[in-house]
Amino acid sequence: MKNRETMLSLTGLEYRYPGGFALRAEAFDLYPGEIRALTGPNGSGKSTLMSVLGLLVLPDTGEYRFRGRPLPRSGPALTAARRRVAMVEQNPYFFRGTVGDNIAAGLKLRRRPEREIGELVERAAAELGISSLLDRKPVGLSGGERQKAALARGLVLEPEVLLLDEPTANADRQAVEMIERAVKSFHRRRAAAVIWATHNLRQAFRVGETVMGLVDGRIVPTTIENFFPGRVEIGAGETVFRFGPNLSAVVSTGAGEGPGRLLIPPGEIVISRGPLESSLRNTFPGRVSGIGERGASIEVEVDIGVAVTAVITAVSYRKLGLHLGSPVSVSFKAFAAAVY
Amino acid sequence: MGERVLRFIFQGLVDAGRLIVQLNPELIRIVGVSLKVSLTALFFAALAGVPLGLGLAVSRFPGKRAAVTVLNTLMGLPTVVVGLLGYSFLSRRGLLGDWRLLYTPYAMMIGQFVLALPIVAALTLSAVAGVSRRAGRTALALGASPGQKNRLILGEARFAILAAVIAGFGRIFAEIGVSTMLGGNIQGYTRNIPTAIAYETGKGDFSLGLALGVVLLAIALGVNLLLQAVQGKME
Repeated sequence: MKNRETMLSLTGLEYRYPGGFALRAEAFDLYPGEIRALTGPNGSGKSTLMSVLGLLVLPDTGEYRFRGRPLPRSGPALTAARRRVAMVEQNPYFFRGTVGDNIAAGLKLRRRPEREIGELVERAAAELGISSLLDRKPVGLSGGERQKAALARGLVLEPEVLLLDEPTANADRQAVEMIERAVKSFHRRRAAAVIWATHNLRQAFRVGETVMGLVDGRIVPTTIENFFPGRVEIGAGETVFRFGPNLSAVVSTGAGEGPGRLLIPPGEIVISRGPLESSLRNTFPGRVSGIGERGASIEVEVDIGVAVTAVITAVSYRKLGLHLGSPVSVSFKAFAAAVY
Repeated sequence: MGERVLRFIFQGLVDAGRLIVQLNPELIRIVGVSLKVSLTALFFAALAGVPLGLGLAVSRFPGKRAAVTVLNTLMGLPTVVVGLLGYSFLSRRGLLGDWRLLYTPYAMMIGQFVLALPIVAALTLSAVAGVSRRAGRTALALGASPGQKNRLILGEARFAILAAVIAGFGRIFAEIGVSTMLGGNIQGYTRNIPTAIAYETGKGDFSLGLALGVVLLAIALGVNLLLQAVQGKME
């Protein structure tokens, strides 16, 4: 990945708020065709980072490069770069006029021909199922409709970089599904770089090829433990997820057959010295391949063909008498594993 | 006593109505001067005041707060003070005395421009400040250049800006200090509605004064109806 040209990169970024809180990033690179989820608690700086990436806020220090070229802090080059990026915000602002006028706004700023604008607006609205809203004023729209209209306004610009700041925060489940589908479809079609900020970890794993975190204004790599690519298969009466070298786990998911990813939370895994007679549907033999401390608990890595991490109490660890190479069984409930 | 006063007012209104219906030439001249002077002053005040208010709202610079305070203070500038300052500049011995503008409609226009400018600018600033942050950010996110961004912001605040211009008109159309001191109330030349009302009432022609008062109110009403109509069309 490092040999590829970056879509945008930030080096030595620092942005200080009046209150003293600072957003910092030593180095940040985004590549063409990448879809990355950005997670973090409220107030961690997600929206500010998105604003910096969208060139709406200029950092106090640091260099911003777009496709390898450094960007000035003002002037036509900055406007030109902004036109290659689109941002959809959590609480979008709509200009006076209809939903159609608002979706067309960015195209009009680019002085695209009227006829072309009409076609593009209709296509974008149809993709998000809001064709019937084009002549309505944004004031009366529901949260989900507003989010869809805002997304249509961004997608219609066919940006090279799409920044989504909690774009489903006010949307119902159906709207969330439609928005996720539309973004994925756009991403595939345009091979654009997408950053999707969300505080919903499940959504982050669902939409992002990679997930990064933001804590107190600093970008941190999100360690995705027990996150395995594979495939959902529906058999006689149960659904299994096939992953790793000939491993399969019984899962409880509404997802249909096809490729997906399995996430097993480390705290949901039971480690035992031998197979258990219990209601746990998944049990895998393995050997301890790593032991470490995680706060007051113990982190145990077990090789079952893939490395699985479990977190157990210090008392359990002592009782089991674990050491590197110990033969153990790893078990978890079908409900405990999530499929994305 | 009270009956006599009421009859006096009623008779004045009847006479005023007759003057208006008959399109009295003196009345028409006075109204014409008022409209010409005030609308010209307002045009230039809007031309300068709207960009000034917008600029102050969207820009950041040291001393901005002080500039806004000065602008707000100037909204309450007494008309006689503007008249006095204008007189000191435009009188023969003044700095601009050679221009020979004193006691001309142009001097009145300058004075009224000075009165209207802070009102238009300050109310535009207030109107734009209400929408500029989110509208401006959204405009930039959609790829607007700085000029396009400002135009979009103005479009978002257009009702309030129109109201600012109308407020400027209200400020100057009925003022008397500048008109008297810089215009001189010359019949058929600089005599406008407020100076004529004062003059005619002073010499006892109550009906013409009252007729002019009715016209003044009618124009104020007309301007507001026009504002509503324009707002309706903008919607």
